[in-house]
Amino acid sequence: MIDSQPKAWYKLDNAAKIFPPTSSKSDTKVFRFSCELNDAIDPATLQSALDAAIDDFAGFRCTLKRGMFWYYLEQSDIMPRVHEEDTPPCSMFYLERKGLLFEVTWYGKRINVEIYHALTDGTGAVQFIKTIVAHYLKITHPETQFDVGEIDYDASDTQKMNDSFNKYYGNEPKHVKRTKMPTAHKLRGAKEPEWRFNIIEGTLSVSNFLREAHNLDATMTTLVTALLMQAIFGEMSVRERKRPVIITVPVNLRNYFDSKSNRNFFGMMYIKHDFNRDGTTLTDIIASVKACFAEQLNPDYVRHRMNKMLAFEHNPFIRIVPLSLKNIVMKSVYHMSVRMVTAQLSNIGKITMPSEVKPLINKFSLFTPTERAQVCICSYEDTLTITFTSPFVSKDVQCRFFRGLADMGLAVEITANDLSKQK
Amino acid sequence: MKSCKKCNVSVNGSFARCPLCQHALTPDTDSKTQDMTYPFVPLIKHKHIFLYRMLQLCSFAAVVIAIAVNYVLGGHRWSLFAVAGVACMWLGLIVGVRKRHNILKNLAYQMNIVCLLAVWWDLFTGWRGWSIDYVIPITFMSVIAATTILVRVLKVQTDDFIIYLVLLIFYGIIPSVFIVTGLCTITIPSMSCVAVSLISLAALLIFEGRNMAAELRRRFHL
Ligand SMILES: [Zn+2]
Repeated sequence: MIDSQPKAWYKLDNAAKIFPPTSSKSDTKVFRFSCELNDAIDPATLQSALDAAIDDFAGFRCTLKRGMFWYYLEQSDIMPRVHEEDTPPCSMFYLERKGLLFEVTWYGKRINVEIYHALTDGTGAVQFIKTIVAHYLKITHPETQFDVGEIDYDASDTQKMNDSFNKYYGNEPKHVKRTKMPTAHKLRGAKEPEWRFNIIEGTLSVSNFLREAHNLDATMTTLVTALLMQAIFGEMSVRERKRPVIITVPVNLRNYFDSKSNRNFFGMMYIKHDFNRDGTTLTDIIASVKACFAEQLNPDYVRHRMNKMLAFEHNPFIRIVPLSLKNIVMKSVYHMSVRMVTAQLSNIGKITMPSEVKPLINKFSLFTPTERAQVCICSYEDTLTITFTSPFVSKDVQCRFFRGLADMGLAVEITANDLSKQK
Repeated sequence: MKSCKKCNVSVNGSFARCPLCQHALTPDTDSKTQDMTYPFVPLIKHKHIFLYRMLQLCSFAAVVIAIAVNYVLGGHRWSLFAVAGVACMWLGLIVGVRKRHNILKNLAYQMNIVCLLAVWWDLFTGWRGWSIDYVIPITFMSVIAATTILVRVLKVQTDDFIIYLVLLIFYGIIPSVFIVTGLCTITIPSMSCVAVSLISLAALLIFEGRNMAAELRRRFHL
């Protein structure tokens, strides 16, 4: 035995605690960011880029461990290796290989970064893929003049691995209206075998889309949420309409609290529309979406929700319960909470790169498979990618959704995976 | 690029039909062949699924035949042992398959199962004490030895095995209770087990004391 130094370790951040007990083959809690370049990816260069990037993200080199009371992340010596994409996207790689919680793969012109949600959220992942892509382009195009360091936040390793939830816990705001969410309409139907899922990615122009959104007096997220609700409504039976459609939208808490953390730091908003009561036209839907955002996107409400979530972790009685019992509790709480969810939508926003490399990148995209329908949005320059993932065989909701975009006169380019060939 | 006239969208990749509405796609004038957008991954055909199903059927058949024969011949209810035997085999198998990714954990789980089942069998076959006299101490000792050998052969990282070794040593000291309370009549296996555990504990503390303390702090953080 070699006398080695004890390894560094981190507690899971508050939002991450729910992921290990609720991860399963049907809901792996893995999300993928992709970046499509103009030329085919060179694996050796990608490996060098990853080696360089991981230095800035030392905290990402860790594995998930099970303690007596909590899961935790432990620093690992494993060096991440890139490989060609050869499995269904977002598989449970972190569990089956007992390895790192992220994976970097390539396929054709595309670099994929898949990350287990317990490690970080979309914001942390964007930083990571941007750094990898920047290092990659720096090697393939040595003539470009830019500093890779400028991409990342100006933050120390400890700041990056900080649990910002803990930093801002407490100070409960007064007079926050609590709304209890009803049981939501649920999408049903036959599912694809082996927990495969359909990915349909629509690419369109940011400026054209924003023009349409402004015409309807809506923001990008509001309009996509409304279109998704309308698409779901189209496939609802009259009897199903007695339940509201509820779409959860994560909110990046970094916009409300100063944080340079690369760990999870997000909260959830519930966007509700009752088609029986609130009307069925797009204008009606946009009105309720806007009302929900207005109610839930204020600092007091955000803080209230965050405190509520943190109370669980900070309760001394819950702390001393063994992990296996906690897992049962967390699983049941989670299953109760998903009854209030029809679909999920997540807008990661604008991804920016140094101007020197802009022409070398075609687009960024992201998606995450869940047991429900999930829409992920991100934009790069004038390219907006809206990715719809769903475990269901039927693609009627997706069809209505993308036709809804096309009907607004927007040119939509569809990129999809083909599960029909894999049976 | 191809396009769907019904959906009014253009479609990337090698699709013949629209991925949204399954309508046939219209090829564009610049019909250059499009690459696959995602790799082809065939469904996993589980190699062992047939064997597994055969085992299920055989187990069920064995149970039914045993009960039927026992009923026809009458006498002592020996068929219950056949049923219990099959149940024990399945318990071991299921745990083995579920924990297959972590051999040390698997070993620890199997050890628990063997010991519990031994005590249980002993109890239901008129307590003769063989489970406590022999099975438990010998199982504990073998698992401690097996783990020590495995971590060297498989070159397991210190942090990955310490917790299992600590747990096993803790288990290994339990037979001292059997000796003190007079629960076991034959003391040699239990005594050896306690001695082996104490020596292992000393070795662990001397060589890996710092790592052990750190690991315990991590594993037991509140
Ligand atoms: Zn179509």
